[in-house]
Amino acid sequence: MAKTVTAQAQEARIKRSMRNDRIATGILTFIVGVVIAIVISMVLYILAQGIGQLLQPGFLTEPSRSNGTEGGIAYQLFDSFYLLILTLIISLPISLGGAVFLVEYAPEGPITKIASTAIETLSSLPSIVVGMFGFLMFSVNFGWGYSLISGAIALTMFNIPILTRVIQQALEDVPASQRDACLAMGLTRWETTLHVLIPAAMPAIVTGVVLSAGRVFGEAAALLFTSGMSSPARLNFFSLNFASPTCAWNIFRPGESLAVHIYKIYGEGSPEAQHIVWGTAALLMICVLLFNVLSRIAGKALARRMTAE
Amino acid sequence: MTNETDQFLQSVGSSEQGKRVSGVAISDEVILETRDVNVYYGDHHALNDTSLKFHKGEITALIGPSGCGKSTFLRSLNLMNREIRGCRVEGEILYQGRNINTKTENLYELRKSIGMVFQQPNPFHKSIRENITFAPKRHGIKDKDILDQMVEESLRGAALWDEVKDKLDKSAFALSGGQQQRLCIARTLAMKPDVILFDEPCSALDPISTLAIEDLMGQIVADRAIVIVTHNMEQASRVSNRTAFFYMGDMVEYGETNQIFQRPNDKRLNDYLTGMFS
Amino acid sequence: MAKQMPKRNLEKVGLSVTGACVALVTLVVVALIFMVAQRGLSTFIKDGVNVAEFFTGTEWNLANTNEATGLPFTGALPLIVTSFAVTVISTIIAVPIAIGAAIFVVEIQPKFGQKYFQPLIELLVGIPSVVFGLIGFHVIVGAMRVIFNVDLGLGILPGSIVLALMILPTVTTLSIDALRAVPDGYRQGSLALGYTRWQTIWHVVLKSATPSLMTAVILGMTRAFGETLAVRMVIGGVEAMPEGLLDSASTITTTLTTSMAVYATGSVQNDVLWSLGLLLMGMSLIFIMIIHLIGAKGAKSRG
Repeated sequence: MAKTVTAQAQEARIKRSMRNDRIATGILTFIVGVVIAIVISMVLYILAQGIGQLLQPGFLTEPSRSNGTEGGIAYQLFDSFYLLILTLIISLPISLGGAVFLVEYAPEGPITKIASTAIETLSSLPSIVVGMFGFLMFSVNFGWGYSLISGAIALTMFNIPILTRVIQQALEDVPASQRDACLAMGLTRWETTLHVLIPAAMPAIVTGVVLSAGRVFGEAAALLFTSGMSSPARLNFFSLNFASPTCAWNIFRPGESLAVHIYKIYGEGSPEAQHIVWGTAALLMICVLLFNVLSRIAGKALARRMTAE
Repeated sequence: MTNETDQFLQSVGSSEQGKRVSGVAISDEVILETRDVNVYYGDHHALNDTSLKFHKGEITALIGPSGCGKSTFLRSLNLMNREIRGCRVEGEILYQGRNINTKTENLYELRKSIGMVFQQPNPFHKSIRENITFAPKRHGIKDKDILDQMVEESLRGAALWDEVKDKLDKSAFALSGGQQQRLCIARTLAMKPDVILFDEPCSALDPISTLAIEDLMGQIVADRAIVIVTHNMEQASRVSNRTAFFYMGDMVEYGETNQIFQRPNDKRLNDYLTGMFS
Repeated sequence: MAKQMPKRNLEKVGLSVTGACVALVTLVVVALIFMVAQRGLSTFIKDGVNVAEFFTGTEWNLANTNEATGLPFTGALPLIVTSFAVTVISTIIAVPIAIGAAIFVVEIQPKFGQKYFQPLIELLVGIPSVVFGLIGFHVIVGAMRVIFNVDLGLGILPGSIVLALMILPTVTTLSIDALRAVPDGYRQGSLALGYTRWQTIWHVVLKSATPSLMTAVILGMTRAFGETLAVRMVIGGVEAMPEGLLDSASTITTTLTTSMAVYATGSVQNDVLWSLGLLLMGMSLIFIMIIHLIGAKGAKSRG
């Protein structure tokens, strides 16, 4: 009698845990379904809201009017890419050098520790703090005012920790035997890094750089006080007078990125301004998607070329 | 001394390779020598007072169980241990009679003279030709004719020329594992080293490729010294003239290969040879 | 033989070039910390604002002067409370979803997870914060109005929801890594003892991944605490003590966004804003320290 009771209890317990297992699996599946639905609907919503405006003739080729609430977004688009390129020109060499130092040269001890702590600190600082620092240091102290170069340096500070980590990881993933082979033939670590390690790490580095470019492209908070919230009313792309305030390539002129543009006019009530906001958001999304896809394609293509030539 | 065995081995050696003799010492010209070398990883004492001599024209095998210090010792000979953080090498390492374990030693020049071949074949992600010419170019040889000649010579030296002469500009990764390892040997030969260090060069290869590498070692040893770390005792007895046995950071016994394998003195060596541990 | 730099010098060149890069970054970070601290502290040292008043005062109004002190109203407590509120609420929303999704991806459908779910989540990381803000402003705030029948729909709750979306990918990705790092032997051992998959996940996998999961959560909180524009677009911007989750409010970061460019460098008002910046910086340093403590403890318990 007693025996059957325990057997029954045991069976009930097993049943219960099987049921719990199924319930838990069900809940988890539901969560993942919701997350996927949110991401896809967000992307589609933005594209649906903005695609009409994006296809309007002139939206991508005309400058904005009435403080951004009318016209196109040509200058913002240009400024975004220009800022991105300036940022990469500054941040890529520094990050590459920093990563090589940390992987290849860093002596054990306090210096290396301080350096890596500094990079980690930079990565966790809110971008608004970086923007405030950039404002005080470059716009005020250096007297650069609202300028593309101030903005690019602020973005650089935001980008360096990301890039350094990506490159560091890529270099560490190159098999140690490659380094050994070089050193054993009497080459320096410097030559080893330049001619063997960096080429071998290139696919991962390219993927990381393009992905980080997507982040930089959408960053706005660090730019509000550094590159400013407006592009000049008139830009001359053919001027080579780099000191002229209307020269498009002048790095000391103010500039406004697409993301900042959205922030500036999102609260404007006029229907046209709202169209512009959504059009800009859709453009920003498409650019970020392209960066995302491009990073994968470029990385894979490079990796294939390296192994199969 | 069992003269018969020696004669037999000699005859085998000469019938196979013409003049190669293994198992016994054949030279007294010392190229590389260590005196009381100690190696530390941080606080860990990995190698104790090791003194050995490496002779021109001879292959010396370093054997012993895993973690016994033989690879650590090998990596001291071309100062590769300096590339490991926290590693310290003490004692004298004499190359051509000159102590190289000093702060002022030009280790970049030195490593041209003391080459190294690793456990895993590790060609670069470059063409076969560039794998050979990469290091010489970095060492300042720019003349294309010299480089081309170097490619052919070293590939012939590594018995690889006939297999790859039509695809010199193809990626080295298209080669088989054994070919890759021979390419790594060719790359080392291009530097015309006096000493070549082999760190378990066949452990990643199939038996046929292994024999090819062993054969090759016999051919290239003539005007230089070869040191090989191996786990494979048949390999050690097949290729080497002298053998050193390492155990737990100590160099326990050293002698002519025949003596080491046939009449070991130390009990630990005897146990190792009879498979008590590995 | 062509003329060439001796190898030893070449190595020195490499060391100095790369060392200079690291030194430059370190220098900038040190300058940043020093500058923010110097400006932020001068509020209390030079301008005579009371530290206790700054942390506990409930009235923030830089435009008007407090008759009693002759200084602007600098009680930052409402901003601090709001910042912590949005951080905590967004974490509470995001963490169960993130860890749930991570469990699904690692334990239940690894192939699907690697092939489809992770790229999708990475896409979410890339979406700019102003775009999150824009969607929050139009969709979430609108939903608040309908659901709770309020006029504006701006405030802490929509801010937290937007932040939850933004930190979701960070926490999910790191949680996935944390669960993947649990050795398979643990799972097989537990399953071999007759435990169900769920019991294994709950008692074995999650338990052994706890330190890394905590790190993931803290990193998410760091991001939420410092996020600026997306919150600014849905929180309303009234710098007063919030009385409910749907009252217009303002966090430390959003206050900085709106006021920073208004006041001249060197004025009391500007210095007080730098004090807020210092507070933000201090918090992110504290978050880093917590992560290091968790890491050190985890390393210790593993032996």
